[in-house]
Amino acid sequence: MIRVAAVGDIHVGTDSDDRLLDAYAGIEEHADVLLLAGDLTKCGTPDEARFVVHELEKVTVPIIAVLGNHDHHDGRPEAVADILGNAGVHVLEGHAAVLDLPGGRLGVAGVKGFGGGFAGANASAFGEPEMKAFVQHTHTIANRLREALASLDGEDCDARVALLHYSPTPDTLEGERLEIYPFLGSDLLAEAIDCAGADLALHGHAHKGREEGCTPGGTPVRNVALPILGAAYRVFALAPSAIPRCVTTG
Amino acid sequence: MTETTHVDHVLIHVRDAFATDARVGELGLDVTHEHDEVVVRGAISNAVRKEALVPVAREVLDQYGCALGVRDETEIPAAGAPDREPEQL
Repeated sequence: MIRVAAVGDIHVGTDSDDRLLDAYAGIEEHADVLLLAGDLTKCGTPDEARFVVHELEKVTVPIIAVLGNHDHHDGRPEAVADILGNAGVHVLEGHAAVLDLPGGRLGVAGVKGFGGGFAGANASAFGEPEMKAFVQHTHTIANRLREALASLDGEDCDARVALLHYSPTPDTLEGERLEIYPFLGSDLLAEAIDCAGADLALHGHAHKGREEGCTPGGTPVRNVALPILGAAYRVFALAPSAIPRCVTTG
Repeated sequence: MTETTHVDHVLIHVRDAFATDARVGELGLDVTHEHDEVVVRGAISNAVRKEALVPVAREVLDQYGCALGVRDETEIPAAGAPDREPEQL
């Protein structure tokens, strides 16, 4: 079994109080890797990214992360990613990482994701340039996710995880106000996951949602936003599996 | 309150300030008008940001000449080591 710890939305700022620091001590007894599902910082400043590094100091397992909307707020996501990367955190955006862990070989494909909504109420690239740009951004990111997952095909992974900040399903948004679903995720992300294949999809962003859901194709989805978990992380034990792929028709 | 600013509009500005003011930086807080108070609910990341809620709201309310009080009912979620067994997938 591959033991995957995950959390999102830790929202570390320069005002943070080390409350995660001790919670991560001894994580290696419970998990072989820590996945961070975005919104690592409060406002996306380099100073805040340095505080994130501090909060993660006691993590002794590999760390893989994607950024979230908060990490973009200051307009310097590359600087945030660089600071985290220099501290050993593998930050993904449209690519994948492969780790040989005690329980097997794990592939992780990561993107931030974006909004747009879900089947029956999804946005279309129609009308004003601003609306087209909004929807096109989601298409672009969903395509990156699909390519990142597909890049794992030749890697002989025992398990594959899609790591996002935005949700690929409305299942895990239940509890949020329906009006904001289009800002919380997109089913284009689920389509990418179902077509390219994953054993588990993880996301954050929806603080009032619920933990469990799945894509239309049956991939388990877990919302690991810290306010949902009420803990510094959740652990998932992944068994080696044959990942189903969908065939797009029509 | 000015003649042109209904309290519902002011609540939107308060909620927006919670998102964009770096002292708070929290999206998704619930901001409602109950009797003579603005009530704030939801999860907030730490005590420093929780302390900033009332001053930030007060600044916005004062800007619109709104005399409502502010009541903070937000909660800081637990963030300790997990106490649940791993989920088997």
